[in-house]
Amino acid sequence: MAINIYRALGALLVVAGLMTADSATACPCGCGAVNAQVMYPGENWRFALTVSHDSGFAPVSADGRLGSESSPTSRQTLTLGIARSFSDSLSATISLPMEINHHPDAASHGGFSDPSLSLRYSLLQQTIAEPLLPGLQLFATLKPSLAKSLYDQPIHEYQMDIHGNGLNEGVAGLDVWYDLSEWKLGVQQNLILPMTRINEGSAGTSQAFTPGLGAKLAVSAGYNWIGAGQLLGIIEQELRQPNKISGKEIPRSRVRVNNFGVAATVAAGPRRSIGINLKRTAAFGSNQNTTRADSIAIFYMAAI
Amino acid sequence: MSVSKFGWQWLCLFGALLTLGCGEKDSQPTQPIATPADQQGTGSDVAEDGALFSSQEAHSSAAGHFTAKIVWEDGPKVGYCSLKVILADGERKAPTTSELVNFEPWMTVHGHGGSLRKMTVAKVDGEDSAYRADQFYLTMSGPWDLKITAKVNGQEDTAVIPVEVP
Repeated sequence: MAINIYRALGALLVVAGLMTADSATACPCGCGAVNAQVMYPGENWRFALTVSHDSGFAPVSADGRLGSESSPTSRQTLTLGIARSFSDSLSATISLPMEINHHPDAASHGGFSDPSLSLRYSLLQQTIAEPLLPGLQLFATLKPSLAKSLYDQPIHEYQMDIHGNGLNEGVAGLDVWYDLSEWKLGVQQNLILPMTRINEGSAGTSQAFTPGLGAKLAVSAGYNWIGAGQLLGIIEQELRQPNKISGKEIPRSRVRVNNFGVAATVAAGPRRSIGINLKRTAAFGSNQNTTRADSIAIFYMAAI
Repeated sequence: MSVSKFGWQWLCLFGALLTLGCGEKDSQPTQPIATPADQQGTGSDVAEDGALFSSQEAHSSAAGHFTAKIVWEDGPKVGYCSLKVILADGERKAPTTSELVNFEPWMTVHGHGGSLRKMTVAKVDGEDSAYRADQFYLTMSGPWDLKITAKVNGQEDTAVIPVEVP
């Protein structure tokens, strides 16, 4: 098993993870970048460790048909990151996923996936005194394309050495949530900003490929057993405009993805929690130009 | 339960409105997607008027310098595929000289290619303008474009043949 080492993030890594165990490389041709961790007033650092298992990969065509199971057939991801608050309003998160791809007809391959850097800024803080006032946060994430992707030749037949989606991505968004004692409700709206990449063909030709502008809406609702844990259901929809080659739209390349997930968290001590996420990408409704995948993730979080 | 005359009319109108409201909003590709049945041809490769293949089987290059017919030997499918490319001039007749310069499967909708690590491209023995592309790997199902660059009668040109991989 070969492991690639990234120079940029090695010194900063301790232990961390993602708030939501999003599998950023579940769709090899491009997905939205991950988001910043939510930090609460009084927290200086937040660390988490997430281990996830993804399987059941199957491409969904432009007209919504489920295709043959694609390669790899399964993947495990270990996500490390660290969040640091600079004030009660501003925090930053660095995230680094590492993954191992599996296929029954090929040797497993491990490598670093694309890292990400996120910033989060609170516009409104929820308080007990004003329960109807929501928490409101702005966030922005940059995900550079560092890991090998399907755009980088030579491509292994079973894509075992593919650990990135090949796209530099920027995400900007708004988080709104209500913690009304036991009940939780949240809405998140993302804008996924496309960045052009130059793809090289085998004959020395190159083309400028620009993913379509994307928007992702996530709605979550759940119940909080105060001091003990919580259970959340999450529905997401991501839409992307058609991709472009050298500025010209590619027909039938719009993206529509409907995801469903459930997350359960249990308190594991003061400012510590463990949890499990279950998620299906392209779970329901009409999906286009995406990949169905099933994900189960276990995470541990600690804040100081 | 019987449906009155006016009930049927409302049902038909509703059904028509539903049909109009559905479907892909993107512009559709104007070139028909080649299926293995189209590409295999029926019977002999020699079509009428001395052409190497019929007009239905032909795919023209961008500048019209050559036409090509592809015959799938294994595929299209996710995995290793093999096909034969038959080159002809712009009128589907046997060329004086021909050379397959490059063969590349490309997934335009996603902007990436397949795996060409084990691919070989060689002239088919006993057939003047036929080439076999063997062991190219299509990585996923969906719409692919086969980019064929060839030099026929001294003129180099490229044909792009769409194919749907199930």
